Amino acid sequence: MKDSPREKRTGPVGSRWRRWRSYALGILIESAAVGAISLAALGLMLLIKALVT
Amino acid sequence: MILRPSRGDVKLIGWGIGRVILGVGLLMTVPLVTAVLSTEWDTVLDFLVGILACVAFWLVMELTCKSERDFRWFHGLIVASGGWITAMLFGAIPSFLSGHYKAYLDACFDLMSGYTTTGLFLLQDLDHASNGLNMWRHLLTYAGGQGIIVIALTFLFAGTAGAFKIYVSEGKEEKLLPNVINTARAIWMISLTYLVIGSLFLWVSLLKEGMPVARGGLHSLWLFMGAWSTGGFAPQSLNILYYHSFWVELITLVIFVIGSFNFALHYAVWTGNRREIYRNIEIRSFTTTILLGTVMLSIGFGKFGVFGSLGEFFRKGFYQLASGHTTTGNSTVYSTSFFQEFGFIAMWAVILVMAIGASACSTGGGFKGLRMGIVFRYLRGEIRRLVSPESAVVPEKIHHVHDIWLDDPMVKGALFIIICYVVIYSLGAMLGVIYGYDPSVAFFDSVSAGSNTGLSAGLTSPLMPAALKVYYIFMMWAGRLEFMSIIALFSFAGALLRGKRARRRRS
Amino acid sequence: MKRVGIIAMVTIILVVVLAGGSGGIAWAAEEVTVEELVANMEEFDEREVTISGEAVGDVMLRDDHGWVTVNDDAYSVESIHEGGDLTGYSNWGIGVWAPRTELEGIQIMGGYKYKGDQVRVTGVFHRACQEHGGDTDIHANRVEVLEPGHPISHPFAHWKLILVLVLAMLVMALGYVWWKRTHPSLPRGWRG
Repeated sequence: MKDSPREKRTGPVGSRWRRWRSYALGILIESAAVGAISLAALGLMLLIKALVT
Repeated sequence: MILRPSRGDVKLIGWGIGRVILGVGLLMTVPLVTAVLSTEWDTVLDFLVGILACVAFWLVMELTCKSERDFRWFHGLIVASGGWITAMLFGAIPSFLSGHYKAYLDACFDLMSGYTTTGLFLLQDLDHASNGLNMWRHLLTYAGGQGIIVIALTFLFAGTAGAFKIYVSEGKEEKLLPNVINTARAIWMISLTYLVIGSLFLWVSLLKEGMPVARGGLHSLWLFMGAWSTGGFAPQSLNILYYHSFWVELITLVIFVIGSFNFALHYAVWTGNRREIYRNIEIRSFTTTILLGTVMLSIGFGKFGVFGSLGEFFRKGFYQLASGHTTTGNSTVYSTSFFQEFGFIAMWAVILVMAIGASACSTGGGFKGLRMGIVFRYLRGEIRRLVSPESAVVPEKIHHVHDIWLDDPMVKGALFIIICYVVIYSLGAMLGVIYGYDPSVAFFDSVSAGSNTGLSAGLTSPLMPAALKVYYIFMMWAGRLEFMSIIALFSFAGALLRGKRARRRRS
Repeated sequence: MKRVGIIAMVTIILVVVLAGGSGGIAWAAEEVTVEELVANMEEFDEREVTISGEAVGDVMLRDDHGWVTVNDDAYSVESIHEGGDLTGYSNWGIGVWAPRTELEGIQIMGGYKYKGDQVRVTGVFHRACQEHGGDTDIHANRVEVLEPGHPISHPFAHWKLILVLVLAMLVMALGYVWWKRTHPSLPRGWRG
């Protein structure tokens, strides 16, 4: 939540833009997490399918 | 907590509940507008009746129960638990007037199911329901997911210290930000942002899959609300199976899994603490248990033989498993298929992940990942203690935004709530068996109700015995509020009676 | 004895030819309900069936095929809004996958405002369709519209309007009292 030490954009618009960009990245990360879990599950299913059937 | 509630206490609670009901009435304006825009005049009248009843109740409470006193802890607890029941009774008015319900009890069932983001339903002939009614059903889960109480906090209690006490008793112990009003607003901001993005993605995919623009738009909004809130309602009887679309399934899967995450986690990841996504105990717990569930389900599918390809394993197996584990309830199979097409092992894999549930301080139900993490670490610590020499002290900790050291009260608390869930699940299953349902089916639906999931193996229907309906309503309510406020409500009611009796004896 | 033997031989040959010719024992398309299909998926899997019911929701066209959901429950005959009785379930319906040409005849879809076209569908039932990710569906080769749909009238419920007016008056009365109590604007002499 702390501001990065990089150069700040001027005015409230600049920081608002950075805030929403941070949110967007958050959304991407969360979606990627779901993707990762799903892929892991797919891998497991492939393995079990091969073993059981 | 020795309660001798005074008239002032009752008045304060009444006033609080009045405000909650006003919130319900305000919420009803959304389906009202939907019905007006869809020229569904009968539905418009249904919602007008509902709104006016809510406003009337609020005014009565304001006139009779206005109090200058401040909220104490137990007031908050009672308003949370009592408020849900009252909101159920009032919210059922427009639903019942729609004609889709056999009895008022059925409408109450659906309302409790909506608010608690369960997703079981007794509504009949869903495929002929009005847009207004569908908007109400789906909005209920979205609002219920945020917590009726959070709504009240956001709009109605601005500035009251009582607000925090109601918020905590509602089952969310997270303090995202120091000011609880700001916490409520942060929760709304995250939800609304996902609403816009998620609905958009769904709308585009529905259009690609051949749905018309306007209906596609409504469906995308409703499907988002149902998935994000982990409610599981959909506008057609076949639920997600209606769309026969891999893309709709994938998008709803992503939405409901993200929706099942703890709000504190969202806030942390969104505001720069990216590592939280893999350090958080609930993410780790969820990942572990869902992958274990996947193994069990895959073995079951493999042995039973109905579903063959990897695609089927994913779209029928993992989808239902994830829907169950996040306690969503969206499904791509017929109810009876859990029993007849899944086989025993796969069916029980779904039951077990439903029981475990989603994250704390989220829209999900069940034991919660946080408690699973606590208990697992506790067990690991115990085993180490047994194995290590006497002198070694092995403290355990968990990471949940912050590092937290495990202590006995925390572990006891977690175990207590888990036991409460197991008790209600089992009682529900036993009741089902007594009424003649198959034990696996009875467990399936009971765990589904108690964990606020909403998948059904066929037990839940308008024809189920009334006693089961009442018990399921109780389970959905108790499960959602995590017992504390329920216990407070019952002891309050008991104290009221005892108090009166004491007065009579003296005179 | 000889005659029996000949008849048996002929029967066996016919069966083998038919079985061999169609790649499996072909049953004649059975008239069933969706409820029966769902309760007995294993028995009906890969068999040709015929269902009749109301087309509800949407026709979703995808390239040269499309989906339509057909309900054959009591509500497809008379929905709640047409005055039908509540029968104890939500709906019984199934997704039908058919060639675009077969679906083009369906004009009106069932919902709140419309009774959908009554259709008869003949096709192969799948317990877990391999083409569609395990969906339970019917791959139809024939969809006929038996009866076109029509708008459902929702007659004005006068009693609801009266209820609205009564409640509105109650709210206004209560609201007036509440307003006076929270906004005392009259000079002291007037109160009490």
